[in-house]
Amino acid sequence: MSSDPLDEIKIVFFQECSELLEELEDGLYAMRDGEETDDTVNAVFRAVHSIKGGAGAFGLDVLVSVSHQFETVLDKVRSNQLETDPDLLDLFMRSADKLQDLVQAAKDGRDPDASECDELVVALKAYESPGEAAPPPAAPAAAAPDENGFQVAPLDLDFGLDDDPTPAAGNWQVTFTPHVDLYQRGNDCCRLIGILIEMGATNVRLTTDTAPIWSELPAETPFMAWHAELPSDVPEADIREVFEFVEDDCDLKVEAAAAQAGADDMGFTPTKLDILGDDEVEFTPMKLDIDLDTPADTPAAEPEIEAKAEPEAESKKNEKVETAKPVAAAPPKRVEPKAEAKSEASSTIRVDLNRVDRLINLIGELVINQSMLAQGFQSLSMPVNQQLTDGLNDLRQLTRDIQDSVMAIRAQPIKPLFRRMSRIVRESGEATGKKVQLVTEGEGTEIDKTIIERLSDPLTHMIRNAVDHGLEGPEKRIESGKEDTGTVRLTAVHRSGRVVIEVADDGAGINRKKVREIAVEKGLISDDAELTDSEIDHLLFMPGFSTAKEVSNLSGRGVGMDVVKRSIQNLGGRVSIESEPGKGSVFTISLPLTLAVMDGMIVRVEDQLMVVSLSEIIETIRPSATAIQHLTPTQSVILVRGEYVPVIDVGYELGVRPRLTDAGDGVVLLSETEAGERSALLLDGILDQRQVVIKGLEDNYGDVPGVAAVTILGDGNIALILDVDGLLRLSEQSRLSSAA
Amino acid sequence: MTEPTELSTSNSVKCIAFDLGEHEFCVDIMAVKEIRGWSKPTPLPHSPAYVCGAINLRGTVLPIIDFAMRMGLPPTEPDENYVTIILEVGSQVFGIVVDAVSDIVTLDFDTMQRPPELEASVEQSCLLGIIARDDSMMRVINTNHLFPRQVAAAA
Repeated sequence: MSSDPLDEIKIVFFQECSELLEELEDGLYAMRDGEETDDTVNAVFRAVHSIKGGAGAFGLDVLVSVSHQFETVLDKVRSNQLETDPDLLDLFMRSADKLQDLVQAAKDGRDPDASECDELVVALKAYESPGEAAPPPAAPAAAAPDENGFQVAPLDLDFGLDDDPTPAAGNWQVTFTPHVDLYQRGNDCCRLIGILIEMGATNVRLTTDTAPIWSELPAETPFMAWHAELPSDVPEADIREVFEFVEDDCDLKVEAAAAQAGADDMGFTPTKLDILGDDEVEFTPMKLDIDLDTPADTPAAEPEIEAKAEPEAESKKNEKVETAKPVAAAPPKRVEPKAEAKSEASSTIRVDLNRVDRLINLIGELVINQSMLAQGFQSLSMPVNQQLTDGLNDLRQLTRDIQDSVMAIRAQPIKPLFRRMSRIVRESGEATGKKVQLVTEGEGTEIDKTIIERLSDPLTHMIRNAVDHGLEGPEKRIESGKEDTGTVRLTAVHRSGRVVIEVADDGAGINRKKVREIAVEKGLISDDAELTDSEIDHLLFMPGFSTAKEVSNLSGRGVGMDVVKRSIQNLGGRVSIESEPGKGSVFTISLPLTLAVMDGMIVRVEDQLMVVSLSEIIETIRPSATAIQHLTPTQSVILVRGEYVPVIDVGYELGVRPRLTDAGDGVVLLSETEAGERSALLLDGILDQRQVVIKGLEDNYGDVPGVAAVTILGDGNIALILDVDGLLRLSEQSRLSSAA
Repeated sequence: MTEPTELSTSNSVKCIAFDLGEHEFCVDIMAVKEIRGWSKPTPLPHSPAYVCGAINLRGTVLPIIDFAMRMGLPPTEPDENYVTIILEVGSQVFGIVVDAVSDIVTLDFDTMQRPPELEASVEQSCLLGIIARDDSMMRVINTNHLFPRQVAAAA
């Protein structure tokens, strides 16, 4: 971590940016899907606006200029001066993409790619209706309080931004002076005032007239009084009811309007104006959050300072009036969405991923420790002590609950990944001249964060393939009686402890004849090989296979699907294809929920326990003594339903014991390798099937051939997790070296 | 010549002294993470002979080295009476099996003599130097060379 404070702020800015960009995309999608509300447009506007604000602070000029223009057009939409249409939304999407690129460039410290930006800015400018003088970006925000109430209203609701808070005749004047007891009983003035605000209170002010000078201020005595004005149509009883629970601990006055001079009050709004006054643009919700949170403390702690700040602020205040007045008139209802947004924001926290991982490690240890403890008590052969047994059972239950909860922290909805894919679809559609729409389902499906990150590349590739190879061009689609817009469907569901992601297109399906021809041509299969449809489909995953006639920008470098398959297998997943000619193809990825834990089969090799991932095992076989045939002294095969599968003697390959001579002593696990090739692992026994915590060996040791990782067993000992592909390579090597 | 252990030679250094047969060794105390009783490690396939295997130290998987074999002595056949010293070198954590930990000593590294370079074998590169102490000879081990990174790949 850098020690430069600016860098730290920058990190926060980029974190916020990614959240804002997500919000922005969400909003744009909602707009596209016709779920547009004022709030949506506001959210989109706010996101762009906040990015612009932050970008300005860091001197990211290109980002500022694009977001500025974006914001201006959005503002038109927001104030109903501009209707959205598909073209405009498309432009918005592209602008959002560009913002994302620019943010990423800034994050990486690269110079932003200014091309396209100008084009976008021009395109956006075109949407500003001519005739009208282009307003400065913030002016409409101020001039249109109704639309903008969401953002700005809370400020006035704080403490009367109004220059002249002379109440309208007939309105209720509420004066609320809390006693020390109110605070001591744990009541929160902010809440009470908040309720008043929800009821429509305006001109809320805080006075500290009675406070002595700072040096004589008793720390625990409150000197604050709150004033608020409520519309006359609110019943007095309702107002009093708000304070029902604290009525003995405060002075409460509710009276019909009698003019009260408010301008001299020592409210601290002016100070705020001082901060905000330079640029109206600063009315961002983030700042307002702070305002809402602090009022109870600030005046009590710093009355003198506030008072001093006032004169300086006075001049600013005057500039501000115009902005503030309409705001003060904002209908109270506008506050509600803000309050909601706030509670939503406070329900999440940002935590460094390392801390979560550390916690997960510790919990893993706790689980192991708990089972060691249980084993220890069992071996004590003490008379049964019910209390102790119950305690141990509770401990087991608790540790399991904790483990589940902690794992859930790492789980994230897959939505951001799907959002990224929508951009890929858009771009590859443009590049290939095909009309494509992406339909996503199950965005809320949760999966381990690391998996989401590492899924991005393979999924991108698959989506591009679907658009490039899967879908036909518009003309051809119409010819075959389909809509000219192709559909790529991206779905995620939880299915029996795994996450299943499907990439489906409604294109022409796999041209099996062509796939076969190419495979023969490239020497991947022999000419007379008899393959089922499904086997032909899976040829796509063979290394070096590419059906595209020419290499396009998008895909078709022939490294495609086999790389996809490998990266998914590295995540403990599997991928398969189903295709129906004329109807389209479906690629199905099945993934474990987390990388930290996997379902493993505990096997025995000589006296050592080892683990094989369940996802790699197709079936288990207990071979008869003669089932395994030795071709050469170093190579043997086993006949599985008519197919000879090479046998890998795990114990020998890992140097644990010599080759097993009598196959009847062992157990065979049938497994499929990356290239779709089967191999049989010969082991000494199968003990159990359970979830194991995966631990890397690389940190302190290095790679071990044939071993993917290790895990810790219930007795605290380490067991190796076998890497089937690595074992296959090992056995090939040992065969070659013995042949040589 | 930039190993951190050598940089600290300008003054006295606190070391953990341990026994191996009748030999006395010591290691900079700053490199020692903890000392624990011996527990049976899980053998790692295809590892150099001096790697006994890996153990689980509260969730961290770390390799264990037979220190005697690393120094070219006959292999240890450890039991519960033996001791594992857990060392942290850079970001790498590993353990060495020794007969017993004897003392914490303060050594003046200025008096350290470089090992004779007659035989620049592996065993010697694991020695930082020798310090004469009363009537015995204290071998200071070079933790940086004790367990080369990616030892598995090299083997």
